[in-house]
Amino acid sequence: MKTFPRMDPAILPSDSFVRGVFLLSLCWTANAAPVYHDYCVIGAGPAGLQIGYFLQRSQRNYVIFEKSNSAGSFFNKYPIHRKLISINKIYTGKTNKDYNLRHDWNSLLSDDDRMLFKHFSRQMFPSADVMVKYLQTYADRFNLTIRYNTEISDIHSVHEDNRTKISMKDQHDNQYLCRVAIVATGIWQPRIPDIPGQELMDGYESLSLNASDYEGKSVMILGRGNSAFETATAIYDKTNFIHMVGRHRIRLAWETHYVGDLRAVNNELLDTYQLKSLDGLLEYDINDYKIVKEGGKLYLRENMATGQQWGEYDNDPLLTPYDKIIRCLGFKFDPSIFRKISDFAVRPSQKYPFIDYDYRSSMVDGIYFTGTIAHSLDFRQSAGGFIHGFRYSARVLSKVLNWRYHQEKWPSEILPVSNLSSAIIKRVNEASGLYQMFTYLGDVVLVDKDGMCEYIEEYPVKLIHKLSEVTGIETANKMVLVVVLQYGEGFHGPEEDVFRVDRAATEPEFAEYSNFLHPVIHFYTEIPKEEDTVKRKRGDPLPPADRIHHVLEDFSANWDRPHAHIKPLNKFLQRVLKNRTKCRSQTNTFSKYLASTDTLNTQSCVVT
Amino acid sequence: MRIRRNIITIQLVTLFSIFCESVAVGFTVDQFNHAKLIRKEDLPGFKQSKTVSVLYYYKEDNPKHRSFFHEYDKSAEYLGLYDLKLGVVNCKDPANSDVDRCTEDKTDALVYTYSNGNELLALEIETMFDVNSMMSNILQLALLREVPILQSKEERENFVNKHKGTHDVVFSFQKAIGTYEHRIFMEVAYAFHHKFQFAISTATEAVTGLIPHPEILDEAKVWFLMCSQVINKEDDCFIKFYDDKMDLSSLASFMRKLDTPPNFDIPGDGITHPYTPDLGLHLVYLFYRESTYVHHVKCLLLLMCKAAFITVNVEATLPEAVGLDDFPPNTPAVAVQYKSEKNLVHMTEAWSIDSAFEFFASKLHEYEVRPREQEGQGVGDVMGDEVEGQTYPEGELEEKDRYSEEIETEDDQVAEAIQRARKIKMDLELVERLTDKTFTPTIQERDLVFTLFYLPFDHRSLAILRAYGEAARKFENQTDRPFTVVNCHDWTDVCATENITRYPVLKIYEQGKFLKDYDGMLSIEDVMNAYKLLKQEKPVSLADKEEIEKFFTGILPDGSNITGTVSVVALFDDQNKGVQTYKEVARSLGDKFTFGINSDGQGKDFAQKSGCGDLPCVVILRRNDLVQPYVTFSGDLTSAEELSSFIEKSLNPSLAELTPSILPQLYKQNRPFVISFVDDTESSRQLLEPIQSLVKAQAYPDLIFCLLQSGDINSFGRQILQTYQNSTSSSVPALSYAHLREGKVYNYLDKSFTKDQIEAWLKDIQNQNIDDKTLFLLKDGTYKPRIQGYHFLEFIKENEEMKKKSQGRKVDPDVHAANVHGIGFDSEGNEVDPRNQDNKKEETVDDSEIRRELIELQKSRLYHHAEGKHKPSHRKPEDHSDTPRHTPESIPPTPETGGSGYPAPEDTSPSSEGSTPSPPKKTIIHDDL
Repeated sequence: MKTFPRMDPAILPSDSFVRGVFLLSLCWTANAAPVYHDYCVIGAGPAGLQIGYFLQRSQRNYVIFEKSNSAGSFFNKYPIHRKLISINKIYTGKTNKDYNLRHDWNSLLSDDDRMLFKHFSRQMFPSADVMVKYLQTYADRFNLTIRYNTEISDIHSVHEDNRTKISMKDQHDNQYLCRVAIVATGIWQPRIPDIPGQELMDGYESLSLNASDYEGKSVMILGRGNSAFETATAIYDKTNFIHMVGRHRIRLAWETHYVGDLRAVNNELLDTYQLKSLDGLLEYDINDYKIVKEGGKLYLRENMATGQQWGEYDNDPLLTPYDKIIRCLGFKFDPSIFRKISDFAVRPSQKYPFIDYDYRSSMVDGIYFTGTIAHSLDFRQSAGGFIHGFRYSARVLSKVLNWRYHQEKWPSEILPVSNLSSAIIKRVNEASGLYQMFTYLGDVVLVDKDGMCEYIEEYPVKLIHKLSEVTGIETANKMVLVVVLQYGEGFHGPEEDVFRVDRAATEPEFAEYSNFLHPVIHFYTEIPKEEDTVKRKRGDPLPPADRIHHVLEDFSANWDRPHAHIKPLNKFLQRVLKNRTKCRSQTNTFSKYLASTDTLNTQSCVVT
Repeated sequence: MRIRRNIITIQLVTLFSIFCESVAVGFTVDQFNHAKLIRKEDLPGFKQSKTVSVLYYYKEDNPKHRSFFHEYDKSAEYLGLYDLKLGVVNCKDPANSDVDRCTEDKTDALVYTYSNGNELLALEIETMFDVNSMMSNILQLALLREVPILQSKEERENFVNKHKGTHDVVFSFQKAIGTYEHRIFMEVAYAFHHKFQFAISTATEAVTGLIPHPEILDEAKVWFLMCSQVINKEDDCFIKFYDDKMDLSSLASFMRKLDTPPNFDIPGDGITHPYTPDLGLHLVYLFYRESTYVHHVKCLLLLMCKAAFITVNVEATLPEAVGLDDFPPNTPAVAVQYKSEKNLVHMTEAWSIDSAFEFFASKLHEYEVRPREQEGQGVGDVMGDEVEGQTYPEGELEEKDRYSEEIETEDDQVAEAIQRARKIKMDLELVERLTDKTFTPTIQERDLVFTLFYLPFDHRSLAILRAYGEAARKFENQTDRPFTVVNCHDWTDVCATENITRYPVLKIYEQGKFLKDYDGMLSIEDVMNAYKLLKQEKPVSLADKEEIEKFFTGILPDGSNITGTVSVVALFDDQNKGVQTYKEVARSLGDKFTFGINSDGQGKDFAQKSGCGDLPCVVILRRNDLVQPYVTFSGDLTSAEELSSFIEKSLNPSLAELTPSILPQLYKQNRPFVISFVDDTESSRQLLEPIQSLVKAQAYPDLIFCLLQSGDINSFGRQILQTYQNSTSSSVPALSYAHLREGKVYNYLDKSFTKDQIEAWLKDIQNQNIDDKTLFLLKDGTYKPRIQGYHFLEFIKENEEMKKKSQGRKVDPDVHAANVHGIGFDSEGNEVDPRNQDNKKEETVDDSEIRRELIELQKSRLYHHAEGKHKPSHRKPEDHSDTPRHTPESIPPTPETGGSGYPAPEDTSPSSEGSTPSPPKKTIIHDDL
């Protein structure tokens, strides 16, 4: 974790003021020449603010467009019952700031300690109102250039001076031209199933928050996610019963290690189901059904062509009449802001746009995505769909842009091999990006022939074969180590017993049986090529390595014990790196007796 | 494989012990049943043991040590059989409160060994984790002379040569000291060391020549070298390789076969031959008459261990006496009797040595390949036999042994030292810990601040941290506390701002600004010296002649001593440009030496004295250099660079003693070394004299003259000398010219140590005019980590293979291994701790359901062991209650053999013929092995 030089606050406000005035004057002459920016960010939610922060810090010409009149407006409404379920852990017993971000899921990244969420709320699960306040404070604190009340549409690419640029307009038909457009709109359109009678349902987005509306009511909730359970938890003390219908087996976050699955903080209804207290869970694919209203009651009925229907069983739970059917099926992204929708919304579910691992649109050059809208890259795996994950992917994106458009190489450290193990141990014990975006972001170490290492932090490992292209750092003739944090294979899934007796490995020699999040180091004699990436195993972000080292999992996630963690890692590094190190034997003659053999070895050994 | 399973055992047991520990009653000293409780007054007597006695000073019940206690007790039982006594001193007993060891700190982590009243080694209980490691370590110690450890090929060859013509040699390679294999070898060695010469090695290098690829050797091996018959020292001993299972009964039976006489003559040696069926030997008969006795037939001895050789004089005995129906009509004649068979197979071909040999070889081959049923066993038994040899039941793919003894050992000396020191608390009380809030104010507010940036898990950081804390302690009574630290694992941001990328880094801040990175040695004195030097004026003004003179003798104008052994003084006659340069250099190197200056011409006399001639003059004073206490600078006084590099270069004494700490500095200079290997004797002084005068003359500025103390045969100086001279018999004093970067070493051989001769030799080397015979080329080697580490990718692949192979059988490999081996049993089939189990049973009655379930699990699965694999111990205490009666040399009887025991060495005559020791019918020592 590096800290960055702070900008002189005296300069910024006036600068953005001038820019604002300039923009304003352009707006008055609408439909004249489009306003140009290097970067146009669409959306001033957490992702837009986060990328805005990095753009501002790099002193880019950028603007953030926000359709509402404040930052983070999504949180004005959602979650509707107002309790955030991202943890806001105030105390960790440690002072390491990067480490503490591992347990702070709400803060955005910045170099200002005052911008930590814990200064805004002391609650573990704060109210969404705090998030609204936080985001606005963040935007103000860094003087991010945000154009509020600006609703963008008609995003498309244009060719001008041999360059592709992105054109867009706002609701007043003001034209904007951008070298790069970064879409940070989030996913906010409710997913509504296309089934007959869907209008009879209540949507999560428009639910009554008045508890008395649910008194004595029989309720069905469609959906299995946190919003469905949040709703159920909010009303189950008033209803006759709640039946929850979903397509899949329930996915508990503590089984899947995916925070997007049902969190324990929301799962009270599981109790009342399993203890036979009237509520219940059912599995149906809602798309095969329709909703009908008969005698003032709602029913879910099969919607099949005649002849294909199942015979009616008199014990079918769906014969139950309901007073309310509530849909809580989550959100999808809004493709209507693009001129050519089909370029983006190619996924059947249309939940997420189609993008590459460098956050770039697969179809239109110059358009990037950041925030939860880019979660398709690590959907159901890592945390890229949530603030505590995408704040890091936004940082990655800023580095991607810095090299691609400004020829600023990714930051890296040069170290001697002898310091590598300490560097790795330090990083795996404190880095929050590796921890939150486990499996997807990893540290990459390039080792050259002279025994020097180049340490690159938080790289999207699925792009390992493009390291040079993405970062600007030379990879030829270098050995490669990739450090990621991973759960054990087979330790996550809705049917895994995560409390089984042998859930944790305790001996270093069985470290590869580690189940909980633990560091894994992949070694490659050279940077993997594109064709190697297709060889990767399912669930594995990296192509098959030449050597792998597992650092034994640790109950407190402190991988810094001399015997259990450091020594085996040292041996591994020595083996993969120094095995290729050639020395004159006379240094060995001496080094046997030397306390600090490294001094000699680095002086007279060359990696072959 | 055995070890691997043990590990799983240990793992699972650990798992349960988490639960057990809360239940288990603590350990008390009277739970030692076999290890004898030694009272204070009995201690001297106990230590007087003629062999080896072992003591553990029990201080308190430590859960971590509990398994050691039990293993120690068990070892006491077994080692008692060897008349090696294991005792316990109860430090809790107030009567023992003044026993030395009881009051010491680390005692309870060590086991002490004594012999004849002397203390031998203290063994760490970390390396004594089970019966195997204890028995092997203690037996090895007791038999150190009888079973030497030979770690090189030369040592082994010398050892073998020494015994040619007198003794047979049993040599073993062991992966490590303290393994099961080592233990059984030592047990066998104990029993047979009066008969054979034993030796072991843990270095693969020592095995060179015995097997094709010693470097890949990864398991214990035993060789039998028949050297006693070798008459000519030049001849090789015939080598028999032990290829049976590495367990006690197999190895012991092998040794017993060796112990039988190689041939037996009937009736010359007697009527009843000693080759009893239980030895499993084939018998080769040579029937002869006095007239037809063939001496050469003894070459058949080469078949030793597969067969025994009986010569029968048909003229002097009757067939019935030998148990035969008839003798062959013609002699010489040869016949073979397969082991455990009654009938003889006679050779029908015409007699010749060759044909006899061939006959036996082919018969042996026939025996090996013929189906086993003929042995009178059913097919099922044969299968059973085979299965028994395997570790997993048929069809199960064997998982390789991933446990590597090596990885348990620390090969990084710094890390090891840190590890050892961890119990001693670091004194960091007076070291100020800086945070993100206090770092900047601290360096800004104070004149001089040392800040150590460190990582708490980096052993090099910890090494300096301890010394740093001690250095701070020295400032306890002073107002300035210059020593501060930043823990970079706590304050990543602070360290990032200071651009710390490697650890540890000691930075010096002066007047609120970063001055420099400290780059001296990381020792208490050096760090403190740096501080003292920085505090003083740079350079120190020397006002008059008196002060200059004092400076030369090591005293500053304020009367204090000059810090360090090297200082620099500059004498100018006015404020010329050189003064500025000098001051600049003084500032930049001010943390390393004291710089003195006089610039008003008062130092003229001193300039002349120290060899400058005239002012200006810069002199480097090296107070510990007897050869050249003054070095003067003759270069350009206006070049700071030139002056600094000159000072750096003149730092080391002109004839430095080569030590690990000085080597890096000298090595950096990339000059050839001229190394005098010396000791304290007069002859060494005779070598040093001419060398010193050469150094004084400064005729060889491109060479580094140094000396290396090499008196002790084990010193690294001697070892380097032996390497350079490529000889194990190198003697001191010696002289070598080593150009390390080129890998060339010239040895000064067969010449007298005179200045002229040495000088001529150096010239010859420099002119490449040298006899190649004295040249030794250092090998171009590859640096390989000494320890291999775990190869997880292989493990993962293996596991996948296993999963594939065992599809359909959904058995957890660990649980399965546990089932086969028997969780809760050690390799001897003894339950790990029956006491704990009893406790648990009681707990079961009144404790929670989960607990009962766990115990059920233990009973049903974990404590179940496969049939025929392990026999629980049936040993009763009275079985060996008579042990103490035996003399140390004799081997106590096994329960089955009662008092007959094993032949004491004095019963066995040295000749291989004539004597007929009566080997016991059963395996020796432990029936359950």
